Amino acid sequence: MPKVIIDGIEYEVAEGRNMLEAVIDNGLDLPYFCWHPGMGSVGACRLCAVRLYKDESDTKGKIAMACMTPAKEGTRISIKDPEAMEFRRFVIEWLMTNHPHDCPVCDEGGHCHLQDMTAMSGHVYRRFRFKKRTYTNQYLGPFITHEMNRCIQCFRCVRFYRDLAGGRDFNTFGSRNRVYFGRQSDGVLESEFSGNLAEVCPTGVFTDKTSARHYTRKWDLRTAPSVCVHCGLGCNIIPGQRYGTMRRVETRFNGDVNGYWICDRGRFGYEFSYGALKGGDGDIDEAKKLLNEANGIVGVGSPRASLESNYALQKLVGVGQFCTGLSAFEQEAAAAYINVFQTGSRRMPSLAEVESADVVVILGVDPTGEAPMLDFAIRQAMRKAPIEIARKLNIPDWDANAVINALHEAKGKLYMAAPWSMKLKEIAAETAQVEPAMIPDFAREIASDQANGLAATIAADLAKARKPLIVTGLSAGADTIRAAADLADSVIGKGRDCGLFVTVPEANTMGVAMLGGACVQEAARKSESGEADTLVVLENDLSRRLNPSDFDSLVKSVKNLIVLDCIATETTKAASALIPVTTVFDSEGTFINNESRAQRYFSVSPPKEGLAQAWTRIRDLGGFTQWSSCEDILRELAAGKPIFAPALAAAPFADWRTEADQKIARSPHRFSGRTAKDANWTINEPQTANDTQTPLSYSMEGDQNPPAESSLIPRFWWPGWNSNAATNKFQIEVGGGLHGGNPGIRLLAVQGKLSETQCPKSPERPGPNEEAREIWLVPRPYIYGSEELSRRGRAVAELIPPAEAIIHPQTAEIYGLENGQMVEFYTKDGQKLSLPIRVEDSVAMRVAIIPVGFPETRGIIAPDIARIS
Amino acid sequence: MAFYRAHILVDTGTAAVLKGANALRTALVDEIKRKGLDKEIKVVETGALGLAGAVPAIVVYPEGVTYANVTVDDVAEIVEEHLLKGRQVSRLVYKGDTPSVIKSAENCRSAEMRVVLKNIGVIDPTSIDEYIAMGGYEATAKALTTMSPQEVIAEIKASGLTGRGGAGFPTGLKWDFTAKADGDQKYIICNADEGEPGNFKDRLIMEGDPHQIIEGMIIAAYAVGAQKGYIYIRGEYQQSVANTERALDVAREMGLLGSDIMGSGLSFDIEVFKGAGAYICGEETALLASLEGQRGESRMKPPFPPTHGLFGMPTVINNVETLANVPHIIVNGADWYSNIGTQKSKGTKIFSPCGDVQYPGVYEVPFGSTLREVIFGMAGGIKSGKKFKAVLMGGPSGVLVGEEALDRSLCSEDLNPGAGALIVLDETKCVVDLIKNCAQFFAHESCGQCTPCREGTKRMVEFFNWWTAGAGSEQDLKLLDQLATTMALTSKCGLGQFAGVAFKSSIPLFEEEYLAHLVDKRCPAGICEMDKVEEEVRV
Ligand code: SF4
Ligand code: SF4
Ligand code: SF4
Ligand code: FES
Repeated sequence: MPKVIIDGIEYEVAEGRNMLEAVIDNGLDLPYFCWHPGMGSVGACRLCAVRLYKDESDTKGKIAMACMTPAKEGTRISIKDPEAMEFRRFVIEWLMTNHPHDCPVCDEGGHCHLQDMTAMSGHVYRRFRFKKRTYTNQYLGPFITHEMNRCIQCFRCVRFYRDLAGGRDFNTFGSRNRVYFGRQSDGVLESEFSGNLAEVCPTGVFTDKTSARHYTRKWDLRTAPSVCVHCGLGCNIIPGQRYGTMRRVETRFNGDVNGYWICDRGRFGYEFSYGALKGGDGDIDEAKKLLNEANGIVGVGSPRASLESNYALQKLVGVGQFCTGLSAFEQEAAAAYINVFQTGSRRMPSLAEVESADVVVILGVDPTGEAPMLDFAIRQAMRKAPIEIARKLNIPDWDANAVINALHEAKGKLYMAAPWSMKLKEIAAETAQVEPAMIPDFAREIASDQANGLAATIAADLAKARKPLIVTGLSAGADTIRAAADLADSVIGKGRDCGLFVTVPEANTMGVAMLGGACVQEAARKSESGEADTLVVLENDLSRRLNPSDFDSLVKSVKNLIVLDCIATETTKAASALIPVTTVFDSEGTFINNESRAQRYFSVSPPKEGLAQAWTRIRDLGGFTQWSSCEDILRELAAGKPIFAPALAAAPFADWRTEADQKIARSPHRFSGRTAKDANWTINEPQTANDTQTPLSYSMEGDQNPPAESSLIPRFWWPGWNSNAATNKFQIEVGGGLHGGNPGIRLLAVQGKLSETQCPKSPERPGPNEEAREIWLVPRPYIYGSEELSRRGRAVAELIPPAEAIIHPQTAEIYGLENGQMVEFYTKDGQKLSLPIRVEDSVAMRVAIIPVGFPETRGIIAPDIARIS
Repeated sequence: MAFYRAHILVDTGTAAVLKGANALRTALVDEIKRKGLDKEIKVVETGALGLAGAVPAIVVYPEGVTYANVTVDDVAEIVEEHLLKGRQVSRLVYKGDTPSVIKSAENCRSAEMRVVLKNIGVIDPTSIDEYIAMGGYEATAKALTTMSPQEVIAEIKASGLTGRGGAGFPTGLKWDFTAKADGDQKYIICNADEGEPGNFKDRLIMEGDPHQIIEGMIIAAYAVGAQKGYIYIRGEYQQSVANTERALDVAREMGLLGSDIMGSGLSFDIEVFKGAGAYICGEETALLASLEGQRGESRMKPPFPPTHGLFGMPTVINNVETLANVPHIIVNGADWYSNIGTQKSKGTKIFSPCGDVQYPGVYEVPFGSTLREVIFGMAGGIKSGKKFKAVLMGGPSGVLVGEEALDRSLCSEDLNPGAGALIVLDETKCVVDLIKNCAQFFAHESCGQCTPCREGTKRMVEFFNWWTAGAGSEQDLKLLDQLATTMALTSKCGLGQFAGVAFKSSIPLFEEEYLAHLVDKRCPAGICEMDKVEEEVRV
């Protein structure tokens, strides 16, 4: 490790760092704007100036930008050099000549990097007297507010949006001191990652529009470490609340999962919580009575409920009567996935590891719609794949623009085969639109020695890749998963370190799949056949998984329907006893993400009157008095099912204390409304709820910064660092892992032996019969609209596309259909679907692509053959 | 080539065209035909002759008489009197000394040495025959058929040729980097984005002798193994674009561009790219970005263009004047070339004195000539008998020097000539006003990437606006001085680093003049309107 000298003191730094990183890695402060640990250096803002000396004897030195200076053995700088300090102060003074100083009305105020850096640089007095430049702002859609006057031209936004997120509709316009960041004209930002602008922008130019509707300063937000509930990747988030209601969601850095970023569904989907069930309408006593009278009980779990709640329900109804809450299709695919996971020698990379792939083959899933941050990770992988070109030129990885120029158009190879063309197509080498049933065959063709055409091209690229990666998902079906695993194995057989990444649709799909149980269809059968007259449904809307007629007959046949949920659904509507429970934001629990990473999340606020966390209601129903906390359930589960044992270490238990014997405070020091924190419902000052269940406290009492326990970080804050740039202070080295390891623990291990080929040949499946006007009906996930919870949020709802059936022009011709025409589809099991047609050549032949999870397409979650009217 | 007893050169530079030079040319041709002289007398269009104030202008050879401010109405008289009867039309003859630019190489002043400019005003720039008759394409033939690429590079290296755009990097070394770099495709780019006020030498070369540049590029392509060339011309230079494109077409027709040039196996073609007139695009990395269709913003180096330039491929970027020197070096040899100039600055340099000199124009002298020789010797000294005050070296990004510098020599060892502009001020001019102009230029051209330049150039203009409106104060000078120093030390690219140079260099020389503005609220030269109240100052 090279040693550098900063203000006369020697420090060690890791290889390949720049001096700004060296400074921050060693816990020192140096202000900066344009550098970002997730984006590297460009040397634009000139704020990180230091004095750089040639060697020991050099007393003069010169002003240099720390972020552009490699940290080599013996590099000698001074942060405290008076001229360098003066210059840094000067930079802020210049920026402030134009900055509007509107902190009181700025949503960034209180967690603003510009405020922090201004204070750090010591600019206090304005010596220039001229007018400030002003701009016109743009409408950028329902997520992001634009206030250009606050811009300090650090260029981070455009770098994030274009270079990292691959967006095209956002750019730098104009020049000199009229530089402008925005779109060509007003309009909704097209990127699925636009919300990150609010975090990368060091000022209040881009702020969270949803949060502004019920704005609270960071110092008044109560926060807790949490996990995103809107897909199966398990991105880490920090939900913020005041008066017990959600105000915003920000990224919680996790170096193994989402890094510095989250997707817009994860950030803005929280608004569903405004429509959550209120307390007081609960029928807990009624439910108890029904359970006592029941003649056969089936419990239906949920992939969006915690592992603990699911286990509690399993215990309540008995293992044999427990259903995972997954559909038969999902269940089969999940079983195939778990089997594949445990019987291969391929890598099962984390989301962060996806970024190091250089050849990626996507089979049948749509990362953008289903697991958006996977789209982001693949973009990073493709961008970084040819990095060797830059390294050969001695360009360090952090020298962002130089790397871009050196790499130029070079990028990794991305291939995909799916029934529709997805957004990632824009960076793909080649894509194939194929019928769903053909995808496993396509994978097998690539793996075989007789590949032709595109399959042969892919095979050749995989065979010479440094880190090849196959991506598929549960929504592609069990057969595709097995074929994808076989393909990965065949690449490994050729001596390549091939990985397999499999998406799952919901936050805890893996948790319920590993817990085991019957599928939803089986639960319905048991009810209709009279084997059970009572159903206990946990956070699951069965209408999303059963086709409408089956759902209706289930509702009719079941005698007692006990439903626990946080939202009102078709299922809660039919409930005989409804027990409202808290949302994920006010619950504790463990989610298992797609790579089997167990991650603990914590409630932000204590449950409001009449509400309780789901597990406590099940405990009450079952009289399981041995459980005083969610942890107790996990302990019991781990004891009974050792596969879950590692999950115990995902976060410390309630008795954990810091070295100073303190809990972690959910409220920040400067929480200004302590006495008024519940003023929305009582003007008395009640005792702060005492949290006996977790190592966190609901008040400001306790430690603010637990750097050693990454899973308990309630917010990123550090003295002098109020913005999320404080994340630096929690990392072993900036941009790298958190102290104490990144949160989460993987449960499944790859076994290390090559599996036998799982499924040498696809089962014969007849395709659609054109004569009989048959067609594939293929559900497609959309980032906005397909996920159950987020689609209820106001901002997300604005972006839900219309429900349409998309067909290829030639398909349209064969079946005599026209754009805009209303068409009825009859599925094999007699379900009828009416949708308008949209003709587009981005889809495969003989398929109609329909949105999954929309009310108009209720119950269809797997590709099916349908007849057209 | 047919023999003509006389040639008439018509200045069709942009300024002249705007004042009706095309109509004048047509009228001349018609009149000559009417008089039946079209077999004896040839009308030739040339680029700008450097007679900015006196256009439209024509020069009649063999006498070399210049007529200035000629209109269509004068045509009949000129043809009748001069061409038929041999009597000069004295009322139209250009007064004062004939600008040397329109003299042939042999009879120019001893101090002037025309290498690159030798054909300017002599040949018809649209005629490749005339270029060839003057020895054109001999260098190409020599290089491509008798030399290996390595020999060409060695020759250029030995000649000591350096970049003429201002930075002065050794050309041979640049070529060598590109020649040695890996790449399926390599590029030669001619930087003709002459954007700095006061510079117009590149335009003259493109308008008056475009084949020279083409030849330089072909030889460069041969040396480094490039397949494709671009001439990046600033969009405002319409005549340059037209002449260059015409020359390219002819060269292509004659097989001097295209595949297997002169049987050497070299396949190379050139395209003209019109810039949008942003000064920053003259900076080579910003120029590349612009050529690639991106925002014209400077890029960090490394990677350096010779190995990772256009579209990530190895790329040579040379200034027009640099490339124009190449054929002469190949024909006459590195020894001949390296004997011209000084120890460190080899060859000739083209200067473009302008402003308050008698004969603004373009002059080529060996490196090492003094400032006095150029301004007083060639440009005729200060016009209207006024006294010399100062000269801005190289344009707004250069230093301001006064009287004391007149005997310094123009070369990299002494007074750096930059790109060659010499903006001369006479005693009646206001230095504050001049520097304000420079400041406005930079504030307008800053790309906006880095803070010191983006904010600093703007602040600078604001200060000058105040000062020249009688709203300054003494402390301002110190504050702006500090600002300019900081900009120079910390800006990301040359634009910001040089934006405050002229201002800083002007303070010690003309401090009194600044204080007159700031303290006494008075412009000694009477140029700045000092009577505006604060509110009216537009900032
Ligand atoms: S909008 Fe924000 S991120 Fe973008 S340049 Fe301005 S201050 Fe930087
Ligand atoms: S990718 Fe999935 S887990 Fe991550 S933020 Fe988006 S919806 Fe949430
Ligand atoms: S100094 Fe900075 S702002 Fe100015 S042109 Fe160069 S990069 Fe752009
Ligand atoms: S952080 Fe180093 S120049 Fe901006």
